[in-house]
Amino acid sequence: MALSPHTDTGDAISPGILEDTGIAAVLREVGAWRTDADAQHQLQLDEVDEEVTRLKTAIEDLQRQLTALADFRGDLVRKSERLEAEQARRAHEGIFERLHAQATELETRAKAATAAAPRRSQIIAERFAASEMAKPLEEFRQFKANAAQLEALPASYRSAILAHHKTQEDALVAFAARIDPGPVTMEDPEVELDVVFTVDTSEDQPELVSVVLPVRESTYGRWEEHADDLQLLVAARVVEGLYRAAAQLGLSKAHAMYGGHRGLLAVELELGPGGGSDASRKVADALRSVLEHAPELIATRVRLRPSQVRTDYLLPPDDNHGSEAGHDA
Amino acid sequence: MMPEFLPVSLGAASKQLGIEPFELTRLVVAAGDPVGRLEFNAARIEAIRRFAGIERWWGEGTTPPADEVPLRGVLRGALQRMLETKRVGDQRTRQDNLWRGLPTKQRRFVEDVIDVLVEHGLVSVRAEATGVMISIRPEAIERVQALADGRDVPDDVARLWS
Repeated sequence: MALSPHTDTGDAISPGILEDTGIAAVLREVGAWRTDADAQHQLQLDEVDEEVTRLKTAIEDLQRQLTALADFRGDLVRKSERLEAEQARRAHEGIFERLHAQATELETRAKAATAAAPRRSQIIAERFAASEMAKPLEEFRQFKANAAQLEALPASYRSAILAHHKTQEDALVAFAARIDPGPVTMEDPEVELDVVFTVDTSEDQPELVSVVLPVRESTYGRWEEHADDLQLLVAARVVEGLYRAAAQLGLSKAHAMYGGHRGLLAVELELGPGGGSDASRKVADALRSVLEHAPELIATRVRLRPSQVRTDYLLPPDDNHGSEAGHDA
Repeated sequence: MMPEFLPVSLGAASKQLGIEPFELTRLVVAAGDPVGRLEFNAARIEAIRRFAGIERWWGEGTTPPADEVPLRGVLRGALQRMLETKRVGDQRTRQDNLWRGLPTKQRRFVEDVIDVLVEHGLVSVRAEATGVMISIRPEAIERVQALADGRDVPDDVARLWS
């Protein structure tokens, strides 16, 4: 029997030699199986290739989604940063809008207080008139009215008279102080105002206290025009509170700067290295103590609340190099 | 009405003393006064004046020496006054004593010229509880005397009145 060198497929069998044997049929069957197997295998390969292609496409889609999400996240982070700045801007605008409104309220109260002020000297006059000092007061006034005539008197006599009237004047001044009712108490509703301050720090050490008041800048710049004005007193009380805080912090030589910030009065006080970690609390406590006990604020029913805020609420980022407070004490 | 026996306001007292209201407020705290009325009778004003060393060198008939350059006369007068009262070294005077009572233009000139004199080492300025104080530096007395006489005026000082 002569065998073909190829026995693995039916194609290699020489026709005419084995075609009539049962082996040919077997090999045809094997060949058919192989053909089917190849077809099935190819089908699976096609399916796998198709799946690979699908997955690659899906991965590319996901990658694109990842890139888009990363971009979106970046936008959100930037937006979040902008929110921080926007928060400061809105707080800044809100604070100054409120302080300006309060400055207007204070102006109105100051006018009312000025109108009521003469009542104080009326009360003193009434109390004088009803007292044993009425006569000395009349004598004192007559003396004042005729003081020019003293020039004609001998020096020794003139000195004696002047000494007598100085004693009389001292007694009148002392009596007036005893019967002085103090600032006129007003019946108007209480005016509530904010004194907004911030403590700027460097390396966690407080360096600078900045205060903005509900008081117009001109109250300081043209103080001669406001010399007897409640607005000047409100500002002075805040200044007093700052200096009392400075004294408590051991900064007895501190000198504040005064000026305007968006039309309102601003005060800055350098704390320097002596500030200490409790500077904020001491500033708030000292301000509160002075503002709660100031007689003229009690009488005129002006209530001032110290409120500490973030530095960028008073001085937005583009202003962070300092307020306009620049006038030395 | 009895204004003659009422204490004066913060503003009125400031005008009497020739200082700004917030400086008076600062002095009230520095002098150790407790929180009370920001009103001032004559005795309290006098106590603050003494505590702070507030002096009035100009006004009420006292003017800087006549000079063909008026601002130079102002500088000469202020320095001469410091020399006469021996405000040298540790003997200081309030800086605002130099200009109190002068018109605004002359006052601003004195404020500016002090900065230049400090740069030249002629005077020293320091903050104290009683106020911003100034004195002539001991080693600069002769130069300050020359300046008070109108001699040896540094160019950057002369520029302030030119």
